[in-house]
Amino acid sequence: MDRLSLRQFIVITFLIGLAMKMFNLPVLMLRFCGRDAFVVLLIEAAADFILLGAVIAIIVCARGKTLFMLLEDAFGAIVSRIITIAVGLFWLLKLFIMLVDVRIFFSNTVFNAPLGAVHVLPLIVLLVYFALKPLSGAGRLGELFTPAVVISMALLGALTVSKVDFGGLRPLLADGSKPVTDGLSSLFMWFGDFTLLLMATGKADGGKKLFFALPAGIAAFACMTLFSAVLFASYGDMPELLSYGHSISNITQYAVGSFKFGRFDLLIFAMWLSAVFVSSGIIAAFFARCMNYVFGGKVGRVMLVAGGAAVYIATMFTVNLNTVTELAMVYFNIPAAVVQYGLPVLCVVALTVTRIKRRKHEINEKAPQ
Amino acid sequence: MKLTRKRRNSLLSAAFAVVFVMLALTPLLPEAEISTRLMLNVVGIDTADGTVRVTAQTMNGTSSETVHGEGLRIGDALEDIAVRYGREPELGHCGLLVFGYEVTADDTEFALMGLLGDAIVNAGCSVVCADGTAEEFVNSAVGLTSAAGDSIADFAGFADTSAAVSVPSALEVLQHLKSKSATAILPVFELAAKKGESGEGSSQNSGTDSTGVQQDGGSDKTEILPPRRAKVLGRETFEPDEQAVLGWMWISGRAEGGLVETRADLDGKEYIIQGSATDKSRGIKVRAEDGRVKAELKLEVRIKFIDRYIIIERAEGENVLRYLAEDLQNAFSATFKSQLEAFAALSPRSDVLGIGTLLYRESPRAYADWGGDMEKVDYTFDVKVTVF
Repeated sequence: MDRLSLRQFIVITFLIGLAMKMFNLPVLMLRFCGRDAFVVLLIEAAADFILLGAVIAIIVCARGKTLFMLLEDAFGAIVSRIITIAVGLFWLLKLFIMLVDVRIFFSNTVFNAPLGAVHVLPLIVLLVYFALKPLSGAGRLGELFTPAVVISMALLGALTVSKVDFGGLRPLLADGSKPVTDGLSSLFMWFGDFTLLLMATGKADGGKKLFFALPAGIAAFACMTLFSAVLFASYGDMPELLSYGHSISNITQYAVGSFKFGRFDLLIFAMWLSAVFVSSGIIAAFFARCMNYVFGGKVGRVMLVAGGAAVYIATMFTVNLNTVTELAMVYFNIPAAVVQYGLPVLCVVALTVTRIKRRKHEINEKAPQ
Repeated sequence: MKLTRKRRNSLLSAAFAVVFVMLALTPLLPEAEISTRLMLNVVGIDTADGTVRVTAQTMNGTSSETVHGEGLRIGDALEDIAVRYGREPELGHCGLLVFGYEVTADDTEFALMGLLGDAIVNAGCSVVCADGTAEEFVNSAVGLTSAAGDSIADFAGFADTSAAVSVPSALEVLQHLKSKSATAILPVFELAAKKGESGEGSSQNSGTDSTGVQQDGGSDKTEILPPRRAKVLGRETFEPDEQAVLGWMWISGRAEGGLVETRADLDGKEYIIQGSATDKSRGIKVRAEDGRVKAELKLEVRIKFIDRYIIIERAEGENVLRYLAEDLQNAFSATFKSQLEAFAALSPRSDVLGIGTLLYRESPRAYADWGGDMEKVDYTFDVKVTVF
């Protein structure tokens, strides 16, 4: 059944809020913005919280219409297909960036040598398969993984937080607001993930109770902010010490004494990584539905497989992973901002247009002949 | 034969279970990766004439020995070890970094940046300073602790929980060196040759007897002493005196205090009163005022005094006992205050209290106006002791 229950919607909101931000983002922010990365993170969290509220409101007000039906009713078949293709291609790009982040993490933290493209192939195959399945599959996986993710984060937090001097977060804005504005304008690719939930428009049960997903989003951001603050406070004076991919694993190693007891922090990370799998699966699923809407049934599935192949080929030719990350901050941030923050705005416009059209139709029907 | 959905799902689940079990059992395979590595548990670092010399303890099961390497930087020295011994050094389980006594703040910072930057060692591994060269320390200590079946790192970890001078982690040392104060303090571990019996308890603030005693050929014994000395790495590199070290112990976040003593005048007679520090809370507040920096050091300690009944016996009645407690509190307060003052007096040489860092966090502008002149810092001490 291609629907999400209320509980599934809430857990997926939580997982999406965490997933892409756990790898490179804290280190990226620290190296780019210094300690003011904390300010950037808070502002982005607030923006994403508003985004989440808007997305849920769209889903509630859509009254059973899917995202594509909404766009088509408002803007017509051709415009809606153009919009959908652009959105679909963006999600494919985001999936590629996410897989680069995963490769960097495993290359720098887990393995001794850089992870080759072939290591990612099983994951891409699995994501393509996942994208063909109904939404309820993602929901069910989310329900299964979320307890493990929550336990792992609580454990890491309990072991880590007490050892950190949070005074190291200060001083904030020591160099004015420039680091903050630079950070805000460059990191769109790693935020705005709640727009993915628009895929559940017309397919989520619960009605207004869907707003219960807001605390889930807050919880996800609270975890992210806490762990990032640990990193910012500890490495605020020496951001050059960190490489992409070290991220939170540096702090957790330090805190849990892994040199004494072994790398059980990696076991905890493995549970946390399940959030990444669900999130990337939803990105793949969104792409698949976009292609299905634009091209229809069989061709849509072919486009999905072609998309997966394109991601893999791009991965094969990606030698310098750090360069991709930097490109995402320079060249891909505008498309990221436009799609992730613009699509909900477009949906609100579509809802308004649809409502106006419906009102006009009702008035015309009631008007005496 | 067409598979039903249920059957297909069962087969898929079984396939996943088989793959998972196979992956989970891979640790039972021959230890190919581990056997090609040289597991280094303790690394000693000396610098001389622009060269970094590494002496490391490697353990395989219960046997323990030392390996050596040299290079221009720490990374080069580790590569030298790989070339000499034909195995790549693995520092993931390194629990202790020992710097030689002559190593400077810059050398320490450089070495730690090299080790932590590439995540070669865990950021939580302990960092200490040897009384002589790190090479001498590691060579002697290896034989010493391997007799007990431990690594030197285990001993350092034990000492940290009970000694006066706390053992910082690599990350903490680097944080202090890279901060505005640019000063870190390392405990000094020394080896001492002792004749006769081992296990003598030390007097003030040791909290533990020495351990790790090895019997050499004759009656001489060598032991690793729990650290009671410290080395300051900052603008100047020096060793503070005992009173200043005790002052550092009170103001540092990690050490608890252990055994303390003071001299108290009771009814015209001087007594040496010993106690055990049970709770400690401390803090430093800084603020800029009229171009100067006001630093307030605060310390609250609860002391449980030992030999309490001997003292009580000398008191007559409850009233005298109350005044007695007051006298003891005043005596301990005065002692701790003088120790804090001795530590603060080191500030003109290196910013041991972290005044610069605290002021910068409070107000970067005030920090810039202050300019880092430690002579422009005024200290006040608020010491409160409760004796029970």
